Amino acid sequence: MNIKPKLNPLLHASMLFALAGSAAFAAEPGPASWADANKSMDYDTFMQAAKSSFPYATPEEFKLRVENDPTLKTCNATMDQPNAAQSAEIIKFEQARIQYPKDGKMVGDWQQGEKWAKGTTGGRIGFADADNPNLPSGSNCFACHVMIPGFPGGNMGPSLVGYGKRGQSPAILKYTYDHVYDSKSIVPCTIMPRYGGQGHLLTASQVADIVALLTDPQSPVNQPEKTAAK
Amino acid sequence: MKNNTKIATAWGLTLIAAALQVSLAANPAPNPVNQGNDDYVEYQNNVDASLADGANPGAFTVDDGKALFLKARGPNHKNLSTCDFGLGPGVLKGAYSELPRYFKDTGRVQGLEGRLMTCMKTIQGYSEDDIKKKYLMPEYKTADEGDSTGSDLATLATYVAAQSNGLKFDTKIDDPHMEKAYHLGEYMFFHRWGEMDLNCATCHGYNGRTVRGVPLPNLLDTHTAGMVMAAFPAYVIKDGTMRTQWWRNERCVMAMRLPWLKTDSDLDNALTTFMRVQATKSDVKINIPGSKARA
Ligand code: HEC
Ligand code: HEC
Repeated sequence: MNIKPKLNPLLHASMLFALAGSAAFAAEPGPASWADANKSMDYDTFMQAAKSSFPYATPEEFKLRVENDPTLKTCNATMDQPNAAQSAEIIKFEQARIQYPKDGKMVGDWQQGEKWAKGTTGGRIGFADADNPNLPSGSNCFACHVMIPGFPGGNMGPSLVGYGKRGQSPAILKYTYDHVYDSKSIVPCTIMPRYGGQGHLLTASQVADIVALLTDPQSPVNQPEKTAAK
Repeated sequence: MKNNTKIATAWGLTLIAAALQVSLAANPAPNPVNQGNDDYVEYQNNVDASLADGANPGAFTVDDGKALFLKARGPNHKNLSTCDFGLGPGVLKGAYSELPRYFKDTGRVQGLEGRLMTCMKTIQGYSEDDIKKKYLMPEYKTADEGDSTGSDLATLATYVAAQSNGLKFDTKIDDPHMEKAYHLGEYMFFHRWGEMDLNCATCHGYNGRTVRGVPLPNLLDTHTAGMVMAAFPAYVIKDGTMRTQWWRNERCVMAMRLPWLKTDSDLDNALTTFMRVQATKSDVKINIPGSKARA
């Protein structure tokens, strides 16, 4: 794996202890010989091609999925290497996007959370194999993370096995909630998707369920392999 | 075929890792030269080896495709034997190896699926609307209702592509249209968008990355790009049918939660152009039908 651990200087000091023992991953530079790929075309010409290539998207779908918001604009313009000022701007913008569950509880039900984390469907539109929009979305955390001992996971993100060791203090819960709801509020331009809010896959209460999956001592994330394998 | 149905059912997502370990043990496959994307190369060799006895069911599709290609169809009751894939009307040998290319008659850069649809219109007399209903807006099915079914566009594409077997890809950036298509493809490969904030490079720009434990091809590694491109149209074990390069592009675009990618659209052709140019830098020879484990 060629992700280089690198501490982000902009991380809020109070969050640093949450990261102890598992260095934060900053977005890594792209392949060196492609450093100028984002200059091979201008955004407007590209968007014209996108318009004709995605003719079946509604204006709403086009806006939410195809057009870049300010954060992705910056990430694309810098090939995921925003400077300090740009990073600060992204963090501010993304923090303001985060919504918490109506009941104020950042921890939900880990059994539900396991469903959302393992689920791979949701949010796919179009013709063949589109998802039923009336069913709740999954988030496929396992695409990138090893999370539950014995359950296959990907290696694009750090292992989250035993995450609950960090405890369930309010600061840890908030850090975890924020990271899942809006990863870019913590690591600007991280490859981890933003999951909460309009145009993304999960509801606030689903995020809270996933926070429970990560932090509850009873959850399979924090149990040895045998109870986890299902 | 019976054997393959069994394999197909064994390829549930969670079972992939287990199934792989079995086939790894059973079939130590040769490891062709590559530039470090070994895990993927080994993984794909084992997918190929899982179709034991060299029996890729997609081989039947080459014959089916030939019959369909030569069958008089459409309002004009004509077959496709005069279709021009870039080397002149009716020349099939080697045509696929040079696609996508710029076509004067349509004024566009097109790949194989696009050219087939063009000929269905110009030669066979199908209307824009026929093509749209049949190929561009395939019957709506939810993921719960099972996989989308095969398409006769894929059947035709398999036949035509197989007429380049044994040749290297030779996609040329030799005019401003091809240059633009290449740069569009390059830009898109690195452009983050969609509900998941991803770009193609996240998953296909590095050696050694995995999704759910399954090795990903690094499409910027020219040997790997050659291996991947030379296998499409491919027999997809999970679907039990042939899938084209457009279909592969669309699957990943869909996974990024972008809208449905129109077949033969500018971005479809741009992506294929970008990846074929990487494949052109390798020595890998076209070998249709390839085999792929899953969607
Ligand atoms: C496309 C890959 C990808 C997906 C999918 C993904 N992540 Fe991540 N995740 C990462 C990467 C890369 C990092 C490290 C950089 C960062 O902190 O954002 C990370 C970091 C994290 C962290 C912080 C780790 C720490 O040690 O503090 C948490 C928590 C997390 N992910 C949870 C999740 C959950 C829960 C999901 C599913 C809802 C998920 N991730 C989906 C790539 C991904
Ligand atoms: C979240 C990760 C992810 C992203 C982003 C992604 N892909 Fe994929 N891609 C996959 C997976 C998983 C497979 C299937 C690998 C397998 O099971 O054989 C795949 C397969 C492919 C293949 C065929 C590989 C083979 O083995 O023959 C091509 C070509 C491809 N992707 C192109 C693209 C393009 C172009 C983009 C951007 C539009 C893209 N992918 C974005 C994960 C991704």
